[in-house]
Amino acid sequence: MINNLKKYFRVWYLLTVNSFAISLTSKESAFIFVLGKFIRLIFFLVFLITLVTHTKTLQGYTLSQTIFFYLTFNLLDTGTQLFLREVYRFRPLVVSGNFDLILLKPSSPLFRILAGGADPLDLLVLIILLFGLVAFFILYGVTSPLSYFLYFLLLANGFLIGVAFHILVAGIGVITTEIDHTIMIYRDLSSLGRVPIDVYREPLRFLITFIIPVGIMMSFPAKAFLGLLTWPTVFITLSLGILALLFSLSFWKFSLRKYTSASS
Amino acid sequence: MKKYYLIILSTIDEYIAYVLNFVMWRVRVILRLLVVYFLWSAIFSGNKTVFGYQQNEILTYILLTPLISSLITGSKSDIGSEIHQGNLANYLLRPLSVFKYWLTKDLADKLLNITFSIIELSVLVLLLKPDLYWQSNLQNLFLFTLSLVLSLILYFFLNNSLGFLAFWTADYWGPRFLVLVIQEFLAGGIFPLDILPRPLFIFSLVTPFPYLSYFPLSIYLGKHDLIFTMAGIGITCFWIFFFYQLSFWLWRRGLRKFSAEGR
Repeated sequence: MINNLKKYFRVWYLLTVNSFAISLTSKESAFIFVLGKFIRLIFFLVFLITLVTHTKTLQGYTLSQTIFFYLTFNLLDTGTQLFLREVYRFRPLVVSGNFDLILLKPSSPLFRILAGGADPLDLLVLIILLFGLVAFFILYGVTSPLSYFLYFLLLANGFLIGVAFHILVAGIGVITTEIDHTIMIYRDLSSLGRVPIDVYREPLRFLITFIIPVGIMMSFPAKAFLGLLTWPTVFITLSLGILALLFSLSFWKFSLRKYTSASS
Repeated sequence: MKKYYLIILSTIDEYIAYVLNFVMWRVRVILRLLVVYFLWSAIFSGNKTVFGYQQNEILTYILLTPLISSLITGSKSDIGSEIHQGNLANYLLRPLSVFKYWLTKDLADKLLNITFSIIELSVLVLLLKPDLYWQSNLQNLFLFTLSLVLSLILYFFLNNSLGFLAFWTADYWGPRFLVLVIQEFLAGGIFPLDILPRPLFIFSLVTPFPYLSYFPLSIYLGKHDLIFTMAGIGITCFWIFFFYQLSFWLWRRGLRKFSAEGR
């Protein structure tokens, strides 16, 4: 088990080094991409500040709390993109039949297509976000260790749900060769979490909490930190995270059985 | 004329060759619309007016945005990639104008886009039954239509100018991504730009982006007086002239450098 973990860590490390080298081949281009991501982050923040300054609160949340939800959303969104970027490059492998070469290798194909190329450009954005988060923690003044524990626990749970979504998209890609729009549909759905999900009306709120759990993924860590989640809700949230992962893994196995290697 | 008609047909065929891909693309368009729609519906719960906008004005703005985008910015053509992969050589050898070829493909894209957008929007309006704003002033409707046509031309030349960067660099996607990010925000796709702090709003108006979506929609909603509207149309004409000149300048210079690398 330990040896296996060491092997996968080594593979991930080598693939990440390669991916970083490719991304940083053109430093000007890398700079422009990071700048673009940063501008996108700032633009929506300006919108949120303008909005909540005008309306005083957003469904009862103050400006700093709303920004905290936005930071948490970006942390998860950027984190999943950083580690799972390879899924965005999976379609050509299926269409060309080159996925066969990955299936033949003595390692998990799922690991390879999920984590086969971390994105350094997202890493830079993530560092900026972490600074923002630390600033919020200092300014907001919550000192309870339990709040921090629950926040990071549900953040990890959110990442798990993000992994589950990516596995599901990869599985759909194996069966149908359609990935590009499906992954962007996931991104669009998850963007509902840029603001606290409480602002949405029913039945949308129920849908994005329990059916497609982007609400649990994006909003619940911040809600837990602010002391707005009950213990039963925390347990249900963690259970849904594990269930989502198990479901996506079984769907992935199913999709592999349907793979026809058509173009190879 | 027949060859351009055939280009339209083949472009539509390209789109529907991968049916699921096409369906998912349309699902995405609807989803993006719903995300913004529900966000604004939530903001208006408990508020009759926000930033000087009535709820029916904002919802009309939000629902018309994808329709306008599908007409103006809704184009899948990737000139940069054609140049980068050397495919441009194929078009240069054909007995047709490359610019007209791209324009025809662009129009085919938009024809398909607008047809589906109208159908989807009609279904959504029937399902969601939002209170919409209907403009009846003929002068506003005329200026709205004029602004749409100008925006269409502006985006064509802006998009070409960005694509032509591929003559000089393989990393043409970087600047394009940056412009896309700025365009997404400053075109007013998520919210009307006049809700921004005044200096930011004024700054946005000197860039070409508001004229791709916000400006035509604000004319439709009757948000500006005639002087402001005419000034906006003047700025749009300036940007059209600028990007027209720029794109032809880049095209002429680029062709001298083009070596059909990759073919």
